[in-house]
Amino acid sequence: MSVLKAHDAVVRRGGHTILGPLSLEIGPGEMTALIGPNGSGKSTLLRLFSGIWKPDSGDVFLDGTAIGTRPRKEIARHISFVPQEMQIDFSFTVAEILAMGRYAHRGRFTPQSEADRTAISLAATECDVTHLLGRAVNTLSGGERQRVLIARSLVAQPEFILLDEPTANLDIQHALDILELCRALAQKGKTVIVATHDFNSVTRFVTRFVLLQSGRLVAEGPRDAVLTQKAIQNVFQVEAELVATKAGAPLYFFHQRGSY
Amino acid sequence: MSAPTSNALELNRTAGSRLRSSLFYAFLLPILFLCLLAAIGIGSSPIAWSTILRVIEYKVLPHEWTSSIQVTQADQVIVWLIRIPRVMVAFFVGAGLASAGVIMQALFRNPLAEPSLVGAGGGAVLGGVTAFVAGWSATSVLSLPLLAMLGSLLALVLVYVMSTRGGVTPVTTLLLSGVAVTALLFAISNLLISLNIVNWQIEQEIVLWMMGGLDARTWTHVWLCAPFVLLGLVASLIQTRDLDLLQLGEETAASFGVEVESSKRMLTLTAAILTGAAVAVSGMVGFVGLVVPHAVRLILGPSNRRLLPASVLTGGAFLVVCDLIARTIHPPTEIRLGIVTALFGGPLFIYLLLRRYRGAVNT
Amino acid sequence: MTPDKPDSPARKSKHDDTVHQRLLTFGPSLLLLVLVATTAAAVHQFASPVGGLQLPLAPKGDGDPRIRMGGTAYPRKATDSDEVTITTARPTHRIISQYWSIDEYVYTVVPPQDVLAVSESAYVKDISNVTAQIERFHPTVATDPERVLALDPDLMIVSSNGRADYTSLARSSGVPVYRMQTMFTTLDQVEQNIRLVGYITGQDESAEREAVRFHDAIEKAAALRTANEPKPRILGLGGHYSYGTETLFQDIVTRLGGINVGAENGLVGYVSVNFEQIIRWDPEWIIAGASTGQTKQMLAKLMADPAIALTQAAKNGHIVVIENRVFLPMSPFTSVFVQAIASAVYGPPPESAEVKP
Repeated sequence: MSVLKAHDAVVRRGGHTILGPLSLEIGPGEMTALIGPNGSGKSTLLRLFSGIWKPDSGDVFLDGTAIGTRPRKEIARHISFVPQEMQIDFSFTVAEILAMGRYAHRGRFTPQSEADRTAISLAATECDVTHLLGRAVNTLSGGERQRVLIARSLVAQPEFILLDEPTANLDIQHALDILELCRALAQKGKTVIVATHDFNSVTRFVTRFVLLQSGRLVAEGPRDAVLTQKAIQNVFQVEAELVATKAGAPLYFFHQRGSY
Repeated sequence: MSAPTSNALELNRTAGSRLRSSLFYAFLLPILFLCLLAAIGIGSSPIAWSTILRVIEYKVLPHEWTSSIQVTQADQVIVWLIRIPRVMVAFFVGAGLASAGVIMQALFRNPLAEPSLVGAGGGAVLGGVTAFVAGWSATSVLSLPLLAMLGSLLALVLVYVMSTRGGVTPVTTLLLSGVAVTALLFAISNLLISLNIVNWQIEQEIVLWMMGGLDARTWTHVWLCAPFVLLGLVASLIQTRDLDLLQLGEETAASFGVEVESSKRMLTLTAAILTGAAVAVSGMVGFVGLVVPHAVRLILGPSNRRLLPASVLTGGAFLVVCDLIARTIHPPTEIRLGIVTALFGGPLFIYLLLRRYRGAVNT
Repeated sequence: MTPDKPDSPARKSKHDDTVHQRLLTFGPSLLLLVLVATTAAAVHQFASPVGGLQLPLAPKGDGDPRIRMGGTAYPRKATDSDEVTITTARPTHRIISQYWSIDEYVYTVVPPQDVLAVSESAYVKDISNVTAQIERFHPTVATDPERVLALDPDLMIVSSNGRADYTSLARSSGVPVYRMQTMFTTLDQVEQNIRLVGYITGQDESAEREAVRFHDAIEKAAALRTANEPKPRILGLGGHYSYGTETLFQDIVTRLGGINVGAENGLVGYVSVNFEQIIRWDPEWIIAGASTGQTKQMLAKLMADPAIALTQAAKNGHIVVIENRVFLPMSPFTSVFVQAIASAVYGPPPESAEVKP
């Protein structure tokens, strides 16, 4: 189970087409970034891939079978979605939150099994939240919460991890941590898809870019093929100055159109 | 790569929370038992405990064993036909309302939600008022509870149909529809009441019924509400994990495998059954579904698997006590049950609110 | 590798989805309705309250007490408004009354010490006609079934339009419970009912005496009208309500040889009236009620009303204000009401009369 494919997918809301028709295939073990300005359809596409939303026409396939035809639980065992933030009024502990991630693997009445405990334990270690297991989740900082969310999605042991703006509310150090974590996961064989409006932050982690504008696919491929001057001008309405960095990936420094 | 097995740290429950759970039940169960005893033993006519026990033996044990027991007809009727059914109904109503409150608070992701939000209360009242003004409540014991239950179910269906588009029922729309339908149904009830203002005896009874009360509850009422409350409780217990996940957000829940729409449907239906069964036999009793889950959550935490059974027992005990107070505090008049729960629940609710907001300001 | 062009499985599943969704929305509710109906049937079968699941009786607008009494020998059988027949084995001396007008029937027929419990209204001085007996014997208030049953009664008389729960509970206690019609529309029915109360309590002589007294009082009142006197047009006014046909007021006015203005103008039953309508109807007499001790104030208020002031009744000082407790009590005390009207309309000089029963 390792290929997610959208085929002519279209999503309409309130009479408008907000995404599509769009076709895209994402294979195993990559870290892909969906980028584009606000309203370009990144979040929508991410939700389509995770099975949360169904396309109004066209389909999304997981390894050849349409996601809409399978029960949610089955999909949840393969695809995990990490939302932008968790707003919660209730004081669940981190351990309880992580345990909820095993929903797809448990029946209604089965108690917690050894497999469950192992998965939770591994995920907690992976995301470095083991020391937080007993804390109430609404007492954590933004960065800690984000790591908990990722840990929770790992608990389901999926092949695909989809993250929606994972660094939007984080300070710099935590943002780097999260992205490092994502890259490590990709290197271990998971397919990581990140939707972000700040593509600069992900350039050195991501192997493949998908550029969206107004719900259409503009370009996809490696960084230099996608993030051309022309593309940036058309899609983001700014001009980019590329600055070399020690990390290998360039930094894109932006100027208003016409001033660079 | 080895993972720490964390056996020392039980991943779901810390030692502290298990202790709290055990303590909670260690207090609650005896208190519940005492409340039940007190409610059966105390009433407007004094009856000795030995008599009560004798009546129970007489009624429960087979005939051959009880030939020597002497109990007067009056004692039998008072203990077996008046007090015991009434206490049982009080327990079931409290349990049902508390459980519906747990569901509502999880579904709407808000600890201040309560059972009547999806229109079930308004529907039950309309059903009840109809039974009264049509005169059926005077001729049959079953008409009032049945119409109230039907009313609450029909109101739920109406609310659900109004707020569903393309198979999706957004929770905010559900809430708003519930409020709108409740307002509408109450308006119709008031219309019926005003048109019949001439029949002052019926009007009096309607007003008293709407304030909630367990006067003249019989075994018929027990058999009417208990199956539905038990059904609702079982349905809720089955869905505690769905409740937990829904509390974290619908998208999250969906991504972890919850069939969100069908789950929401089942849960609102369960809440409506519980609320409808309760209102059918007790009229409008407020605050139980709001305050009990909230208070229990403060002690036991938000995990619905622990919260639900605890709220059920606490809600039952709470209402048994309120009913006891309602009938003994100002003899010979009985204070309406809804008033007693409001007098207790109101200040408690305000305290919980202040605590919440003071806490929010401090963090 | 491209997959086969999907045979719109998405679209097909969407259609199935809608049907599926609809089924899921209504399915559980329908199932539940079925469950509710089954429970009702089961409860009816196995846990039915004594008296059964009654279908609603046709509304008895005529207030016919539906008295069916058996013979005078004991055990006696009487059938009440729920079609339930009670059997009394001997005269009863521990009687519970649950309704205000039943209190009055009972106190006029049985010895007062036999009445163990009364309605709450009996204790309210403003509307109670049995204050003297209440103060002397302090009967229990019959709202709490526990207290009532602890009194060990041998007869309970409850009203036909109270809640069924109370009656059902009372019936399951084994005490004979008679559900009495209380909304009467003719004086004959009131008289019959006096005899009924005597029958079920075993106080036949006392009841007969009271029935005769009642009858004679009505006759005497009617006799106050001289033969060829024109029929007075009388309007009854209870707050903003008046009385049309099928009311006791109608029967009273007719018996007294008057014309009921409400009935004259097509009212049926007890309905609300607009004071403007009253101007059009222009009654000669207005009979109104007031709280105890408030009759003069009520009279002043009516006279001050611009609509009422235009009527003949007001202009000629023909407004009669009677205390509420004898304003259509539907009990033997109705005779007081009848006499008050008769003496006001036919008797001594027209002056708004206060009534002291």
